[in-house]
Amino acid sequence: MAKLLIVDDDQELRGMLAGFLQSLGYEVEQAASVNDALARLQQSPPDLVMLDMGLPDSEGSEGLQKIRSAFPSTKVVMVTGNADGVLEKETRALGALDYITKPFDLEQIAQKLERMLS
Amino acid sequence: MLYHYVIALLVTCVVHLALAIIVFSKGRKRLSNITFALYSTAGSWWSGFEAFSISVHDQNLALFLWRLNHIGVIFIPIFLNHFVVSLLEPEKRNQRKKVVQISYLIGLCFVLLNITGILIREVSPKFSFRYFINASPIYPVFFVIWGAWACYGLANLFRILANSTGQKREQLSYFSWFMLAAYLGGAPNFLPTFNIEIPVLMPFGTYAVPLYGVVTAYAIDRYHLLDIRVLTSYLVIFIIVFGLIFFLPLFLLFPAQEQLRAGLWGAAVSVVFLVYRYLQKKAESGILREEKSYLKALEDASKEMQLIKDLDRLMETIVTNIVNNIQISNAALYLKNQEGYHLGYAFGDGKESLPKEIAQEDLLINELRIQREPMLREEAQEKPDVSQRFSLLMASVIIPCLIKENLLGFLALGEKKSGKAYNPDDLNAFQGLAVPLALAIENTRYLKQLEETHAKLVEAEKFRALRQMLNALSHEINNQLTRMIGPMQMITIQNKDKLDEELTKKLKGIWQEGMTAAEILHDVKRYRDKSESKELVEVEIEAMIEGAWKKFSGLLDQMGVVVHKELASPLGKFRGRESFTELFYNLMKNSYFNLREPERKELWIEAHRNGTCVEVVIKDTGGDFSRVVCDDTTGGELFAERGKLGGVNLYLAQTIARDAGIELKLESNQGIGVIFRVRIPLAETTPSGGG
Repeated sequence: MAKLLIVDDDQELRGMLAGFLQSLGYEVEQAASVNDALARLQQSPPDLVMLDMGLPDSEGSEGLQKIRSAFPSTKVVMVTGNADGVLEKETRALGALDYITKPFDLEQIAQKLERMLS
Repeated sequence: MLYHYVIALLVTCVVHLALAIIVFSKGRKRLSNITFALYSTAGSWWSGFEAFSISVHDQNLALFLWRLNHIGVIFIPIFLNHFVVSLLEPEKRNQRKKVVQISYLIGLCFVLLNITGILIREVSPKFSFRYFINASPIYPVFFVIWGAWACYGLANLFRILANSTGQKREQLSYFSWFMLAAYLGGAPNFLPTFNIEIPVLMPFGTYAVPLYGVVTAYAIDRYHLLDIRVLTSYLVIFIIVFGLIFFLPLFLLFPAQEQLRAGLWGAAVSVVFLVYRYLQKKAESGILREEKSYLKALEDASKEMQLIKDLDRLMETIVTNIVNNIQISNAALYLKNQEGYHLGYAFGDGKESLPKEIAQEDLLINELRIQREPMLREEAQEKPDVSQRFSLLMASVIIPCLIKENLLGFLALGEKKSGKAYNPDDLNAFQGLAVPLALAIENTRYLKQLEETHAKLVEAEKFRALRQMLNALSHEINNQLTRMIGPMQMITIQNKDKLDEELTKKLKGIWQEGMTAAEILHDVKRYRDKSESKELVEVEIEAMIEGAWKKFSGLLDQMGVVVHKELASPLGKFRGRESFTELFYNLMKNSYFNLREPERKELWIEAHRNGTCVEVVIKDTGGDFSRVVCDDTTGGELFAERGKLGGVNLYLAQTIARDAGIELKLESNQGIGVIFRVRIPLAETTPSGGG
């Protein structure tokens, strides 16, 4: 099964999403910041990163740029609580596979991940 | 006697030559200036050669000089007529073109007769002249034609004078009378040819010719627009100072003492101009007292204008001050904008008929840029297009307000109520007024620009703060919602088989409401993003409705809503702020929320053209609003309480409609549903048809 890395500073939210995805059979790792995520990527690269856009060490698309410049082949999906059309376009242009807004529909996330990782 | 003739003729020659040069240099391309310069040259030619013709001792030389003299004589009435024709309106001028051409032809015939010796055959001593012409058989014919032609020219000149008004009349009045006097005084110079001599008039009448020249030269050079009263007073002073005070006493008191007389005369000459200037100033202050008082008032007003910060008030102050102080019938101030020059403020008779805009490239604007000084209606007569603008603006004088090369605006002033002409002092004052005016206009504009920039910055800052706040709020609320409804959805997914139907339904309902709340927050953000832009956009109404429809068609389909859509094509375009594009999205979202509960789920979307408007109806069979505060957005606040969160979309739709100046009406009847009626004014460019 595919390996996922969830990057979010909200532990409760991160845990809930991780629990749901693990129940679907994914191998899930967690990180609370972009630096933490970069360290984990260094150790064992996942198949896909779910990256929150409001992290303490990176704002907006900054985290995406850092990850994509260090690991260009990594698939990244952006997750945000603040939907913004401009930012969505910007992150997609920087290589994000998708832009998911909170609160999300878990069933839809499951479908999207399956499609992106197939 | 001969002495007086020679002096008068030589003075005439010099004065007319000077007059020709002055007039020509003041308008090298203007027909009236050219013809008048030619006329004066002919006068100078005539008088110069006649002064020598009558005084030389050699008969053959005298004959030669007389023949030369007559070349000028022949052309005097021809140039006079041409000059008079040049004063006419362009249309009438063209009608007389042939007459002018024929007169030149006749003139050339006489020149030929003159140089071949047919016109003047011989000269002989007559009266006090050393040599004067003896009439040849053809000379009486020439004399009659010359006289008739001169009379015709003068008659036309007086006809123009009689038909003229305002400043032109002022200018022509003294000019015409002095010219008539010159002809009456100068024409008797022909009479010795026929052995006739009129005592006193000959030689003293000849002095009327240089006097006319002096008056005209003086008037054209400095006082060509001056009130006749001032001119005559100056002349009287001139005659008194130079004649009565200085010359006459010298001759009367010391008739035989030439050396003493010359000495005293020299001393007198050295102070005469000071005395003359002193008296002239006294006369000016007396006659122009009224004018000087309003010029002072204008000067004071221009100082006050510098302190005005509001452009509209400044324009009103400028115009009303000028109208009230100068006592003119009307005045208008045009100010530069991006397209051209727009009417800023107008006062007085006929202001409603003034053009609202004058293009940047308009001939009048170009002329003002070139001239850079107050321009009189009379000066524009040679340029029909510019003259026509004066008529359009009901202006007698136009004052440009310039800062360097930038024409900031101009003042168009009508006629003085007194009927008097604008004089050079007026124009000088206007020229002086134009500079502080331009500065005051520029200052207020700069201040206005600063205020606008400041307002924009404040607004931008407000938007920035609002955006930050809304983003933070959105982030927090959405995270919170995810924490709340995420586990609920997870429970329903992971325990699909264990949970009973009732509980699953309730959990799904809570999840659904959470998602709806997030959506509403998202819609508010969408509106905020669009409303930030103040730029006007032109949008196809049909495309806008279709675009909004596409966003909901899938959801409505899933909900089993029966949709009746009927859009006329093309509907046309609307021009307004970008936020307008969100109007139908919010109205349809309202219907989407409205249709979630009832059993009968139907939605109608209809749009058609009605004259210069598009009428859109969105009607659903959803629940009615429990209370509608006001049903007309144009009249006041529209807010519907419905106990559901969908009211936010309605509020946004109302705000968008109000910002765009669109009529939005709501009908809500119990058990029937909600009807929205939208009336959108079409953009002007929209072609008619459709619907």
